[in-house]
Amino acid sequence: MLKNNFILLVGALLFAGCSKEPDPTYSEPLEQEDYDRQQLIDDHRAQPVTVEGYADVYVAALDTETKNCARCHKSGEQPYRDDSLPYGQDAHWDVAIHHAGDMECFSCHKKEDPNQLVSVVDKNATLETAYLHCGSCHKDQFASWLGGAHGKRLTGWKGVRIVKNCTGCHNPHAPARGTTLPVAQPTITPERAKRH
Amino acid sequence: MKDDSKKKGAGCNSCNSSENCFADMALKKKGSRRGALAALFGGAATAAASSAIAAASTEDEKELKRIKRDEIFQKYYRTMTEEERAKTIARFERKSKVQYGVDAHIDGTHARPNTLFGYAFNISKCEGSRKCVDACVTENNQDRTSGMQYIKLFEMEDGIGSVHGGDTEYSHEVPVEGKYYLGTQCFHCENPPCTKACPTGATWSEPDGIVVVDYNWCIGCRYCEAACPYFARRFNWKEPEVPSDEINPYQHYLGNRMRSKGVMEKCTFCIQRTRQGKQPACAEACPTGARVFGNLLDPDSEIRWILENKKVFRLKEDLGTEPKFWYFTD
Repeated sequence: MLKNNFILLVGALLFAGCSKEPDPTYSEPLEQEDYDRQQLIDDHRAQPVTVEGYADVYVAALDTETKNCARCHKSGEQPYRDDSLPYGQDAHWDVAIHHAGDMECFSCHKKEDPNQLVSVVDKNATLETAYLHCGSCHKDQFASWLGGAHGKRLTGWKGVRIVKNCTGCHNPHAPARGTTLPVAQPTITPERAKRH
Repeated sequence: MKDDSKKKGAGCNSCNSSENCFADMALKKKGSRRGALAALFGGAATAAASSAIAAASTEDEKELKRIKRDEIFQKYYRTMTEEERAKTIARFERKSKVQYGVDAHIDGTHARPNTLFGYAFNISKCEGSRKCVDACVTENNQDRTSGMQYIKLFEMEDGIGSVHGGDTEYSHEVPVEGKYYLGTQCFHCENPPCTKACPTGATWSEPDGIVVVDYNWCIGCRYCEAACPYFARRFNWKEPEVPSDEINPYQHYLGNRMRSKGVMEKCTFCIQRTRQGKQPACAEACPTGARVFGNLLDPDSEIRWILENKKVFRLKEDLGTEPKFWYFTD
């Protein structure tokens, strides 16, 4: 009897000694108040994108102010063209088109209203909703962008998801991204170099 | 060494070594034994300083010593009560002020409920600009003199899967045709070998999946470094040096607070940022959006979409470490 008690006691002590893992502690759940959410949307001048089958996503307005095309291109009128220049782009001398071979201005812009975009699939895309236009050909990228595998998220991981538009990262007239120099490598000391 | 001390003492005729000279000067200035003793114990580092500056800084040095003594006797962070934690944090905030002159805010936020952090890295998108590395060093107050970095960005030949052939020290325009870029850091394994190797329990997995280090419980044995199959842990061989104006004052107790010599450190998924809902510094700095961070328990999160819709892989999956860091391609 005594022996049994002794074994039990030792067992209990051992058990108490082994269960060292402390209980996890939690802070309050992280909430994004409605006000913060609205503030973020306002800050980025974001517009909602709703496509069935994807979580809610907002697209931020472009950093640069888009030009008002209607200032020169009057609605219903043919814009002036100088055929000696490539694509008749005399007023847009700084635009070089490097996109899918022989595209020209009106492959994407509507002749009557260049603020509007034309696409193979008819969608009423504007410069602000360029993702619809880009997405009509680049379907995989569009799906990835909606899902979250492509594109740049501007907000934290929690709460409202605001992302950049396609034209926020890619130059629409030459969408391939160029090369850059990497950030300089901090100096390596001899003792660190020895370890490798 | 002997030659050095002779050189130092050579400028003063009344005493032999620089320490004695210093004590002598302090005595003359303060006229008290206590002041001289304090100056004496101030150590060799201040020995060369002028007596006026030394007298002003002795108070700080004394306080720093008191703080460091308390540090030796402090408890294990996980078993502290909330009051003890608050006290400890206040002590480290004061230490930051005394030692570096920085008003640090040290956060002690615990894991948020229903959160498990995961990371995805797009090897098709990464351009190798190394902006993530730079942002990480700045955010996490890493030693600037030893070149310590949590992130390694490998430039690799297309079709080669092993990082052993990768180059981390490239300095040409990126991206290069025929090469791809793959970044590694701590993968915050679900089954981490490093925490099992630790003899003191100074490193553990938090409920939100972040593997953290209690820098004051670490004895610097480096067993965890040897245990980690991903070479993710970094050791402070010397006292870390960060210029005061470059210290990030927004710190977390288990994250980017200032470390000392002889302790282990590593990526913490920027615990000071992510527990407040922000993205880690690397993901925020990435110019291409190749880095995706999120909550694995949220079915609407980007990372869950990637895991469900993309081809993903992890490094050394056969080891069963279950890293929460996936690579994917477009």
